[in-house]
Amino acid sequence: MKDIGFGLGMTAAGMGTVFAMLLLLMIIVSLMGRMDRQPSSAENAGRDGLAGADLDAMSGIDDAPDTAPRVLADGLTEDQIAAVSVAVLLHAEIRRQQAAPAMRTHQPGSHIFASRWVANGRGLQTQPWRRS
Amino acid sequence: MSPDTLNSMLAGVQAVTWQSLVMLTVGCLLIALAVVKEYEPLLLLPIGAGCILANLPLSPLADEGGMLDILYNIGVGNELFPLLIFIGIGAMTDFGPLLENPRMVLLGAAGQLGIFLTLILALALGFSRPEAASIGVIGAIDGPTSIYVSGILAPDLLGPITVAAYSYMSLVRIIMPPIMRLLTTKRERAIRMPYSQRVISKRTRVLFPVVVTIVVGILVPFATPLIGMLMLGNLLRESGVVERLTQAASNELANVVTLFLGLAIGSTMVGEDFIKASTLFILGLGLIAFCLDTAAGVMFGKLLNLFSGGKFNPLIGAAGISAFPMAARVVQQEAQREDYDNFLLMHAMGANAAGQVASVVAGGVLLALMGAG
Repeated sequence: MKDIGFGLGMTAAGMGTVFAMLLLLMIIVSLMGRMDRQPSSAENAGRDGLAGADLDAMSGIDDAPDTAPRVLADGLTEDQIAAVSVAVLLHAEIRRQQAAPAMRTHQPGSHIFASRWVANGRGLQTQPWRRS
Repeated sequence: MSPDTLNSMLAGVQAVTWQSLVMLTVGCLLIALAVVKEYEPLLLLPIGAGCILANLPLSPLADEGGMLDILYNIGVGNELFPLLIFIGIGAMTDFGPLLENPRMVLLGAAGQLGIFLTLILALALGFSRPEAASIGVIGAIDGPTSIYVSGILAPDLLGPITVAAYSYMSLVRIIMPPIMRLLTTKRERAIRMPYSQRVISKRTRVLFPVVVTIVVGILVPFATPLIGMLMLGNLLRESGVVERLTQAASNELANVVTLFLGLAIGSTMVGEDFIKASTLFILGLGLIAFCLDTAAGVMFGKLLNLFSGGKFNPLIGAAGISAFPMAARVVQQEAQREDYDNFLLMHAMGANAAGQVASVVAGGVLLALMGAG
Protein backbone atom coordinates (compact mmCIF):
# COMPACT_ATOMS: atom_id res chain seq x y z
CA MET A 1 0.00 0.00 0.00
CA LYS A 2 2.94 2.24 0.78
CA ASP A 3 4.33 1.52 -2.69
CA ILE A 4 1.01 2.33 -4.34
CA GLY A 5 0.96 5.65 -2.50
CA PHE A 6 4.48 6.26 -3.74
CA GLY A 7 3.34 5.42 -7.29
CA LEU A 8 0.39 7.79 -7.10
CA GLY A 9 2.68 10.53 -5.80
CA MET A 10 5.09 9.86 -8.67
CA THR A 11 2.24 10.02 -11.17
CA ALA A 12 0.96 13.32 -9.83
CA ALA A 13 4.43 14.89 -9.58
CA GLY A 14 5.66 13.38 -12.85
CA MET A 15 2.69 14.28 -15.02
CA GLY A 16 2.44 17.68 -13.37
CA THR A 17 6.08 18.41 -14.15
CA VAL A 18 5.85 17.08 -17.71
CA PHE A 19 2.74 19.16 -18.40
CA ALA A 20 4.31 22.27 -16.84
CA MET A 21 7.50 21.81 -18.86
CA LEU A 22 5.65 21.34 -22.11
CA LEU A 23 3.34 24.25 -21.38
CA LEU A 24 6.43 26.40 -20.96
CA LEU A 25 7.81 25.04 -24.22
CA MET A 26 4.53 25.80 -25.94
CA ILE A 27 4.70 29.41 -24.76
CA ILE A 28 8.32 29.73 -25.88
CA VAL A 29 7.62 28.20 -29.30
CA SER A 30 4.60 30.50 -29.72
CA LEU A 31 6.75 33.53 -28.89
CA MET A 32 9.35 32.37 -31.40
CA GLY A 33 6.56 32.10 -33.95
CA ARG A 34 5.60 35.70 -33.25
CA MET A 35 9.17 36.77 -33.89
CA ASP A 36 8.77 35.24 -37.33
CA ARG A 37 5.63 37.22 -38.05
CA GLN A 38 6.95 40.63 -36.94
CA PRO A 39 9.65 41.06 -39.59
CA SER A 40 7.30 39.93 -42.31
CA SER A 41 4.65 42.46 -41.24
CA ALA A 42 7.34 45.16 -41.17
CA GLU A 43 8.35 44.07 -44.63
CA ASN A 44 4.73 44.26 -45.73
CA ALA A 45 4.47 47.75 -44.32
CA GLY A 46 7.60 48.68 -46.22
CA ARG A 47 6.20 47.05 -49.31
CA ASP A 48 2.91 48.92 -48.86
CA GLY A 49 4.87 52.15 -48.70
CA LEU A 50 6.66 51.13 -51.84
CA ALA A 51 3.37 50.20 -53.46
CA GLY A 52 1.99 53.60 -52.58
CA ALA A 53 4.97 55.22 -54.20
CA ASP A 54 4.52 53.00 -57.24
CA LEU A 55 0.86 53.91 -57.46
CA ASP A 56 1.80 57.52 -57.21
CA ALA A 57 4.24 56.95 -60.01
CA MET A 58 1.56 55.25 -62.09
CA SER A 59 -0.90 58.03 -61.53
CA GLY A 60 1.65 60.52 -62.76
CA ILE A 61 2.03 62.44 -59.51
CA ASP A 62 5.73 61.89 -59.71
CA ASP A 63 7.59 62.06 -62.98
CA ALA A 64 8.71 58.48 -63.47
CA PRO A 65 11.43 57.76 -65.97
CA ASP A 66 10.48 55.63 -69.00
CA THR A 67 12.77 52.84 -67.83
CA ALA A 68 10.84 52.36 -64.56
CA PRO A 69 9.71 48.77 -64.05
CA ARG A 70 6.10 48.06 -64.93
CA VAL A 71 3.87 47.42 -61.91
CA LEU A 72 1.39 44.58 -62.43
CA ALA A 73 -0.39 44.02 -59.12
CA ASP A 74 -0.03 44.66 -55.40
CA GLY A 75 2.81 47.02 -56.07
CA LEU A 76 5.01 44.23 -57.39
CA THR A 77 7.03 44.62 -60.53
CA GLU A 78 7.33 41.94 -63.20
CA ASP A 79 10.76 41.01 -61.92
CA GLN A 80 9.51 40.69 -58.35
CA ILE A 81 6.58 38.53 -59.43
CA ALA A 82 8.93 36.33 -61.44
CA ALA A 83 11.27 36.02 -58.45
CA VAL A 84 8.38 35.16 -56.13
CA SER A 85 7.09 32.56 -58.60
CA VAL A 86 10.49 30.90 -58.88
CA ALA A 87 10.87 30.92 -55.09
CA VAL A 88 7.42 29.37 -54.58
CA LEU A 89 8.08 26.66 -57.17
CA LEU A 90 11.49 25.92 -55.68
CA HIS A 91 10.05 25.77 -52.18
CA ALA A 92 7.27 23.43 -53.31
CA GLU A 93 9.82 21.21 -55.02
CA ILE A 94 11.98 21.06 -51.88
CA ARG A 95 8.96 20.27 -49.70
CA ARG A 96 7.89 17.57 -52.10
CA GLN A 97 11.34 16.03 -52.11
CA GLN A 98 11.48 16.16 -48.33
CA ALA A 99 8.13 14.46 -48.02
CA ALA A 100 8.72 11.92 -50.73
CA PRO A 101 10.99 9.41 -48.97
CA ALA A 102 8.55 9.08 -46.09
CA MET A 103 5.51 8.70 -48.27
CA ARG A 104 6.61 6.75 -51.32
CA THR A 105 9.07 4.14 -52.36
CA HIS A 106 10.23 6.24 -55.28
CA GLN A 107 10.42 9.98 -55.40
CA PRO A 108 7.84 11.60 -57.65
CA GLY A 109 9.50 12.65 -60.85
CA SER A 110 12.11 9.94 -60.67
CA HIS A 111 12.34 7.75 -63.72
CA ILE A 112 11.33 4.67 -61.80
CA PHE A 113 8.24 6.35 -60.46
CA ALA A 114 7.42 8.07 -63.72
CA SER A 115 7.26 5.03 -65.90
CA ARG A 116 6.96 1.37 -65.22
CA TRP A 117 7.75 0.82 -68.90
CA VAL A 118 11.12 2.49 -68.41
CA ALA A 119 11.78 0.43 -65.29
CA ASN A 120 10.77 -2.74 -67.09
CA GLY A 121 12.98 -1.90 -70.05
CA ARG A 122 15.92 -1.22 -67.79
CA GLY A 123 15.34 -4.50 -66.00
CA LEU A 124 15.43 -6.32 -69.32
CA GLN A 125 18.61 -4.52 -70.32
CA THR A 126 20.44 -5.32 -67.10
CA GLN A 127 19.03 -8.84 -66.78
CA PRO A 128 18.57 -10.03 -70.37
CA TRP A 129 18.29 -13.67 -69.27
CA ARG A 130 15.00 -12.95 -67.50
CA ARG A 131 11.74 -12.91 -69.35
CA SER A 132 9.42 -10.05 -68.64
CA MET B 1 41.40 -40.70 -29.28
CA SER B 2 41.62 -40.15 -25.55
CA PRO B 3 38.47 -39.51 -23.52
CA ASP B 4 39.76 -36.02 -22.66
CA THR B 5 40.07 -35.10 -26.32
CA LEU B 6 36.60 -36.46 -27.00
CA ASN B 7 35.24 -34.49 -24.04
CA SER B 8 36.79 -31.24 -25.21
CA MET B 9 35.49 -31.83 -28.74
CA LEU B 10 31.99 -32.41 -27.41
CA ALA B 11 32.17 -29.66 -24.79
CA GLY B 12 29.77 -27.48 -26.78
CA VAL B 13 27.13 -30.19 -27.07
CA GLN B 14 27.48 -31.08 -23.39
CA ALA B 15 27.03 -27.44 -22.37
CA VAL B 16 23.70 -27.06 -24.12
CA THR B 17 20.95 -26.32 -21.61
CA TRP B 18 17.21 -26.02 -22.05
CA GLN B 19 17.50 -22.31 -21.27
CA SER B 20 20.02 -21.77 -24.03
CA LEU B 21 17.79 -23.69 -26.46
CA VAL B 22 14.82 -21.50 -25.53
CA MET B 23 16.89 -18.35 -26.00
CA LEU B 24 18.24 -19.58 -29.34
CA THR B 25 14.60 -19.98 -30.39
CA VAL B 26 13.81 -16.47 -29.11
CA GLY B 27 16.78 -15.10 -31.09
CA CYS B 28 15.56 -16.87 -34.24
CA LEU B 29 12.05 -15.52 -33.60
CA LEU B 30 13.36 -11.95 -33.36
CA ILE B 31 15.29 -12.39 -36.61
CA ALA B 32 12.20 -13.86 -38.25
CA LEU B 33 10.10 -10.89 -37.10
CA ALA B 34 12.71 -8.54 -38.54
CA VAL B 35 13.13 -10.37 -41.85
CA VAL B 36 9.65 -11.71 -42.56
CA LYS B 37 7.43 -9.08 -40.94
CA GLU B 38 9.94 -6.20 -41.15
CA TYR B 39 9.15 -5.22 -37.54
CA GLU B 40 11.89 -2.70 -36.56
CA PRO B 41 14.47 -4.76 -38.50
CA LEU B 42 17.31 -2.33 -37.79
CA LEU B 43 17.14 -3.19 -34.10
CA LEU B 44 15.43 -6.58 -33.85
CA LEU B 45 17.83 -8.27 -36.28
CA PRO B 46 21.03 -7.33 -34.39
CA ILE B 47 19.28 -8.06 -31.06
CA GLY B 48 18.28 -11.50 -32.33
CA ALA B 49 21.80 -12.13 -33.62
CA GLY B 50 23.29 -10.96 -30.31
CA CYS B 51 20.89 -13.21 -28.42
CA ILE B 52 21.92 -16.24 -30.47
CA LEU B 53 25.64 -15.47 -30.18
CA ALA B 54 25.40 -15.00 -26.41
CA ASN B 55 23.46 -18.21 -25.85
CA LEU B 56 25.58 -20.54 -27.90
CA PRO B 57 27.21 -22.93 -25.45
CA LEU B 58 30.57 -21.77 -24.11
CA SER B 59 30.33 -18.71 -26.35
CA PRO B 60 33.53 -16.72 -25.91
CA LEU B 61 31.82 -13.65 -27.39
CA ALA B 62 29.74 -13.00 -24.29
CA ASP B 63 32.43 -13.92 -21.76
CA GLU B 64 34.44 -11.28 -19.98
CA GLY B 65 36.67 -9.63 -22.57
CA GLY B 66 34.62 -11.05 -25.46
CA MET B 67 33.38 -8.80 -28.24
CA LEU B 68 29.79 -8.57 -26.99
CA ASP B 69 31.00 -7.90 -23.45
CA ILE B 70 33.25 -5.11 -24.75
CA LEU B 71 30.38 -3.59 -26.75
CA TYR B 72 28.16 -3.66 -23.66
CA ASN B 73 30.80 -2.00 -21.50
CA ILE B 74 31.74 0.74 -23.95
CA GLY B 75 28.25 1.73 -24.93
CA VAL B 76 25.39 0.33 -22.88
CA GLY B 77 26.81 0.11 -19.37
CA ASN B 78 27.69 3.80 -19.49
CA GLU B 79 24.60 4.89 -21.55
CA LEU B 80 26.77 6.15 -24.43
CA PHE B 81 25.01 4.35 -27.30
CA PRO B 82 21.46 5.62 -26.64
CA LEU B 83 22.80 9.16 -26.48
CA LEU B 84 24.66 8.77 -29.77
CA ILE B 85 21.49 7.40 -31.35
CA PHE B 86 19.67 10.49 -30.13
CA ILE B 87 22.05 12.67 -32.17
CA GLY B 88 21.01 10.67 -35.24
CA ILE B 89 17.31 10.92 -34.38
CA GLY B 90 17.64 14.69 -33.92
CA ALA B 91 19.38 14.99 -37.27
CA MET B 92 16.54 13.08 -38.93
CA THR B 93 13.62 14.81 -37.21
CA ASP B 94 11.84 17.82 -38.66
CA PHE B 95 10.24 19.82 -35.84
CA GLY B 96 8.63 22.10 -38.42
CA PRO B 97 5.07 20.81 -37.90
CA LEU B 98 5.46 21.43 -34.17
CA LEU B 99 6.80 24.95 -34.72
CA GLU B 100 3.91 25.67 -37.07
CA ASN B 101 1.36 24.59 -34.49
CA PRO B 102 2.75 24.96 -30.94
CA ARG B 103 -0.55 23.95 -29.29
CA MET B 104 0.22 20.35 -30.25
CA VAL B 105 2.98 20.30 -27.62
CA LEU B 106 0.43 19.51 -24.90
CA LEU B 107 -0.64 16.34 -26.70
CA GLY B 108 2.89 15.08 -26.24
CA ALA B 109 2.51 15.46 -22.48
CA ALA B 110 -0.77 13.51 -22.40
CA GLY B 111 0.90 10.66 -24.28
CA GLN B 112 3.24 10.02 -21.35
CA LEU B 113 0.54 9.11 -18.80
CA GLY B 114 1.06 5.40 -19.52
CA ILE B 115 4.57 5.61 -18.05
CA PHE B 116 3.32 6.55 -14.61
CA LEU B 117 0.21 4.35 -14.57
CA THR B 118 2.34 1.36 -15.54
CA LEU B 119 4.77 2.26 -12.78
CA ILE B 120 1.89 1.87 -10.30
CA LEU B 121 0.93 -1.50 -11.82
CA ALA B 122 4.53 -2.71 -11.63
CA LEU B 123 4.72 -1.69 -7.97
CA ALA B 124 1.48 -3.59 -7.34
CA LEU B 125 3.04 -6.67 -8.92
CA GLY B 126 5.93 -6.54 -6.47
CA PHE B 127 8.70 -4.94 -8.50
CA SER B 128 11.07 -2.65 -6.62
CA ARG B 129 10.72 1.11 -7.15
CA PRO B 130 13.67 1.51 -9.56
CA GLU B 131 12.52 -1.59 -11.48
CA ALA B 132 8.95 -0.28 -11.66
CA ALA B 133 10.16 3.08 -12.96
CA SER B 134 12.27 1.31 -15.60
CA ILE B 135 9.32 -0.81 -16.69
CA GLY B 136 7.05 2.24 -16.79
CA VAL B 137 9.40 4.04 -19.15
CA ILE B 138 8.57 1.47 -21.84
CA GLY B 139 5.46 3.66 -22.07
CA ALA B 140 7.62 6.42 -23.52
CA ILE B 141 7.56 4.27 -26.70
CA ASP B 142 11.06 5.49 -27.22
CA GLY B 143 13.82 2.86 -27.43
CA PRO B 144 16.84 5.01 -26.55
CA THR B 145 15.03 6.66 -23.62
CA SER B 146 13.98 3.25 -22.28
CA ILE B 147 17.56 1.97 -22.56
CA TYR B 148 18.98 5.11 -20.96
CA VAL B 149 16.60 5.16 -17.99
CA SER B 150 16.59 1.42 -17.32
CA GLY B 151 20.38 1.33 -17.73
CA ILE B 152 20.62 3.72 -14.80
CA LEU B 153 17.77 2.46 -12.62
CA ALA B 154 17.66 -1.29 -13.27
CA PRO B 155 20.48 -2.59 -15.49
CA ASP B 156 19.42 -6.18 -14.78
CA LEU B 157 16.15 -5.62 -16.65
CA LEU B 158 17.76 -3.95 -19.65
CA GLY B 159 17.27 -6.93 -21.99
CA PRO B 160 13.53 -7.53 -21.58
CA ILE B 161 12.77 -3.79 -21.37
CA THR B 162 14.61 -3.06 -24.62
CA VAL B 163 13.00 -5.97 -26.42
CA ALA B 164 9.57 -4.86 -25.18
CA ALA B 165 10.16 -1.21 -26.15
CA TYR B 166 11.30 -1.96 -29.67
CA SER B 167 8.80 -4.75 -30.25
CA TYR B 168 5.86 -2.56 -29.35
CA MET B 169 7.25 0.36 -31.35
CA SER B 170 7.16 -1.91 -34.37
CA LEU B 171 3.58 -2.91 -33.58
CA VAL B 172 2.20 0.64 -33.60
CA ARG B 173 0.05 -0.12 -36.64
CA ILE B 174 -1.52 -3.10 -34.89
CA ILE B 175 -1.87 -1.89 -31.29
CA MET B 176 -3.12 1.67 -31.75
CA PRO B 177 -6.08 1.48 -34.18
CA PRO B 178 -8.43 -0.70 -32.06
CA ILE B 179 -7.96 1.60 -29.05
CA MET B 180 -8.51 4.70 -31.18
CA ARG B 181 -11.71 3.24 -32.66
CA LEU B 182 -12.94 2.09 -29.26
CA LEU B 183 -12.60 5.52 -27.67
CA THR B 184 -13.93 7.69 -30.49
CA THR B 185 -17.17 7.89 -32.40
CA LYS B 186 -17.39 7.72 -36.16
CA ARG B 187 -18.36 11.37 -36.23
CA GLU B 188 -15.35 12.41 -34.15
CA ARG B 189 -12.97 10.47 -36.39
CA ALA B 190 -14.38 12.23 -39.43
CA ILE B 191 -13.79 15.75 -38.11
CA ARG B 192 -11.79 17.74 -40.61
CA MET B 193 -9.20 20.21 -39.44
CA PRO B 194 -7.99 22.83 -41.90
CA TYR B 195 -4.26 23.13 -42.10
CA SER B 196 -2.65 26.44 -42.90
CA GLN B 197 1.03 26.14 -43.48
CA ARG B 198 3.10 28.82 -41.81
CA VAL B 199 6.55 29.75 -42.94
CA ILE B 200 9.13 29.01 -40.26
CA SER B 201 12.24 31.10 -40.60
CA LYS B 202 15.67 29.58 -40.41
CA ARG B 203 16.33 31.71 -37.32
CA THR B 204 13.45 30.01 -35.48
CA ARG B 205 14.51 26.57 -36.64
CA VAL B 206 18.04 27.16 -35.35
CA LEU B 207 16.89 28.81 -32.12
CA PHE B 208 14.45 26.00 -31.28
CA PRO B 209 17.02 23.31 -30.38
CA VAL B 210 19.22 25.80 -28.53
CA VAL B 211 16.35 27.23 -26.47
CA VAL B 212 14.83 23.81 -25.71
CA THR B 213 18.19 22.48 -24.53
CA ILE B 214 18.80 25.44 -22.25
CA VAL B 215 15.27 25.54 -20.80
CA VAL B 216 14.94 21.78 -20.24
CA GLY B 217 18.55 21.51 -19.10
CA ILE B 218 18.02 24.13 -16.42
CA LEU B 219 14.62 22.90 -15.23
CA VAL B 220 15.20 19.13 -15.49
CA PRO B 221 18.98 18.55 -15.35
CA PHE B 222 18.48 14.77 -15.45
CA ALA B 223 17.06 15.14 -18.96
CA THR B 224 20.08 17.12 -20.20
CA PRO B 225 21.95 14.17 -21.75
CA LEU B 226 18.85 13.01 -23.65
CA ILE B 227 17.47 16.38 -24.75
CA GLY B 228 20.95 17.79 -25.31
CA MET B 229 21.89 15.07 -27.81
CA LEU B 230 18.49 15.11 -29.50
CA MET B 231 18.66 18.85 -29.99
CA LEU B 232 22.34 18.75 -30.99
CA GLY B 233 21.38 16.49 -33.89
CA ASN B 234 18.54 18.82 -34.80
CA LEU B 235 20.82 21.86 -34.61
CA LEU B 236 23.23 20.19 -37.04
CA ARG B 237 20.33 19.64 -39.42
CA GLU B 238 18.74 23.07 -39.16
CA SER B 239 21.94 25.10 -39.16
CA GLY B 240 22.48 24.06 -42.75
CA VAL B 241 26.20 24.71 -42.50
CA VAL B 242 27.43 21.27 -41.46
CA GLU B 243 25.90 19.07 -44.13
CA ARG B 244 28.60 16.44 -43.73
CA LEU B 245 28.07 16.17 -39.97
CA THR B 246 24.30 15.97 -40.46
CA GLN B 247 24.72 13.18 -42.99
CA ALA B 248 27.22 11.40 -40.74
CA ALA B 249 24.95 11.68 -37.69
CA SER B 250 21.83 10.48 -39.48
CA ASN B 251 23.54 7.73 -41.48
CA GLU B 252 26.95 6.43 -40.49
CA LEU B 253 26.83 7.20 -36.77
CA ALA B 254 23.22 6.08 -36.31
CA ASN B 255 23.78 2.90 -38.32
CA VAL B 256 27.00 1.84 -36.61
CA VAL B 257 25.68 2.58 -33.13
CA THR B 258 22.39 0.82 -33.89
CA LEU B 259 24.32 -2.32 -34.87
CA PHE B 260 26.52 -2.21 -31.77
CA LEU B 261 23.59 -1.39 -29.50
CA GLY B 262 21.48 -4.23 -30.89
CA LEU B 263 24.28 -6.77 -30.46
CA ALA B 264 25.06 -5.55 -26.94
CA ILE B 265 21.41 -5.65 -25.89
CA GLY B 266 21.00 -9.11 -27.42
CA SER B 267 23.99 -10.31 -25.43
CA THR B 268 22.17 -9.44 -22.19
CA MET B 269 19.46 -11.96 -23.05
CA VAL B 270 21.24 -14.94 -21.52
CA GLY B 271 18.87 -17.81 -20.74
CA GLU B 272 19.58 -18.14 -17.03
CA ASP B 273 18.80 -14.45 -16.45
CA PHE B 274 16.13 -13.91 -19.08
CA ILE B 275 13.80 -16.85 -18.58
CA LYS B 276 11.91 -15.69 -15.53
CA ALA B 277 8.33 -14.88 -14.71
CA SER B 278 9.39 -11.25 -14.36
CA THR B 279 10.28 -11.13 -18.07
CA LEU B 280 6.74 -12.10 -19.00
CA PHE B 281 5.41 -9.47 -16.58
CA ILE B 282 7.66 -6.85 -18.17
CA LEU B 283 6.47 -7.75 -21.68
CA GLY B 284 2.85 -7.61 -20.50
CA LEU B 285 3.29 -4.34 -18.62
CA GLY B 286 5.02 -2.80 -21.63
CA LEU B 287 2.01 -3.59 -23.77
CA ILE B 288 -0.30 -2.12 -21.13
CA ALA B 289 1.86 1.02 -20.99
CA PHE B 290 1.55 1.46 -24.75
CA CYS B 291 -2.23 0.98 -24.66
CA LEU B 292 -2.57 3.46 -21.78
CA ASP B 293 -0.49 6.04 -23.64
CA THR B 294 -2.70 5.76 -26.69
CA ALA B 295 -5.87 5.89 -24.61
CA ALA B 296 -4.64 8.90 -22.61
CA GLY B 297 -3.73 10.72 -25.81
CA VAL B 298 -7.13 10.10 -27.37
CA MET B 299 -8.94 11.12 -24.19
CA PHE B 300 -6.93 14.34 -24.04
CA GLY B 301 -7.83 14.86 -27.69
CA LYS B 302 -11.49 14.47 -26.73
CA LEU B 303 -11.01 17.09 -24.04
CA LEU B 304 -9.56 19.49 -26.60
CA ASN B 305 -12.47 18.61 -28.87
CA LEU B 306 -14.84 19.64 -26.10
CA PHE B 307 -13.05 22.94 -25.51
CA SER B 308 -12.80 23.72 -29.21
CA GLY B 309 -16.53 23.24 -29.75
CA GLY B 310 -16.15 20.03 -31.73
CA LYS B 311 -13.50 21.31 -34.13
CA PHE B 312 -10.61 19.17 -32.89
CA ASN B 313 -10.25 15.59 -34.12
CA PRO B 314 -9.45 13.47 -31.03
CA LEU B 315 -7.53 10.92 -33.12
CA ILE B 316 -4.62 13.38 -33.22
CA GLY B 317 -4.16 12.86 -29.48
CA ALA B 318 -2.99 9.31 -30.16
CA ALA B 319 0.00 10.70 -32.08
CA GLY B 320 1.39 12.30 -28.92
CA ILE B 321 3.74 9.38 -28.34
CA SER B 322 7.33 9.10 -29.40
CA ALA B 323 7.03 6.52 -32.19
CA PHE B 324 7.95 8.97 -34.92
CA PRO B 325 6.53 9.11 -37.58
CA MET B 326 4.57 5.84 -37.43
CA ALA B 327 2.04 7.12 -34.89
CA ALA B 328 1.20 10.13 -37.08
CA ARG B 329 0.72 7.88 -40.09
CA VAL B 330 -1.62 5.61 -38.15
CA VAL B 331 -3.71 8.65 -37.19
CA GLN B 332 -3.90 9.69 -40.84
CA GLN B 333 -4.92 6.17 -41.89
CA GLU B 334 -7.63 5.99 -39.27
CA ALA B 335 -9.00 9.40 -40.26
CA GLN B 336 -9.03 8.34 -43.90
CA ARG B 337 -10.96 5.19 -43.07
CA GLU B 338 -13.90 7.40 -42.16
CA ASP B 339 -13.37 10.16 -44.67
CA TYR B 340 -10.96 9.54 -47.52
CA ASP B 341 -10.38 13.24 -48.13
CA ASN B 342 -9.60 14.03 -44.50
CA PHE B 343 -5.98 15.16 -44.19
CA LEU B 344 -4.75 15.19 -40.59
CA LEU B 345 -1.18 14.15 -41.22
CA MET B 346 0.49 17.51 -40.55
CA HIS B 347 -1.45 18.06 -37.31
CA ALA B 348 -0.54 14.53 -36.24
CA MET B 349 3.11 15.09 -37.17
CA GLY B 350 3.12 18.13 -34.86
CA ALA B 351 1.75 16.04 -31.99
CA ASN B 352 4.19 13.24 -32.81
CA ALA B 353 7.19 15.60 -32.77
CA ALA B 354 5.92 16.89 -29.42
CA GLY B 355 5.76 13.28 -28.21
CA GLN B 356 9.42 12.92 -29.11
CA VAL B 357 10.38 15.85 -26.88
CA ALA B 358 7.87 14.89 -24.18
CA SER B 359 9.17 11.33 -23.85
CA VAL B 360 12.67 12.64 -23.26
CA VAL B 361 11.39 15.14 -20.69
CA ALA B 362 9.35 12.39 -19.01
CA GLY B 363 12.44 10.15 -18.86
CA GLY B 364 14.41 12.96 -17.21
CA VAL B 365 11.59 13.73 -14.79
CA LEU B 366 11.39 10.05 -13.85
CA LEU B 367 15.12 9.96 -13.14
CA ALA B 368 14.84 13.15 -11.11
CA LEU B 369 11.93 11.80 -9.06
CA MET B 370 13.82 8.57 -8.43
CA GLY B 371 16.84 10.57 -7.34
CA ALA B 372 19.07 8.78 -9.84
CA GLY B 373 22.38 10.23 -10.76
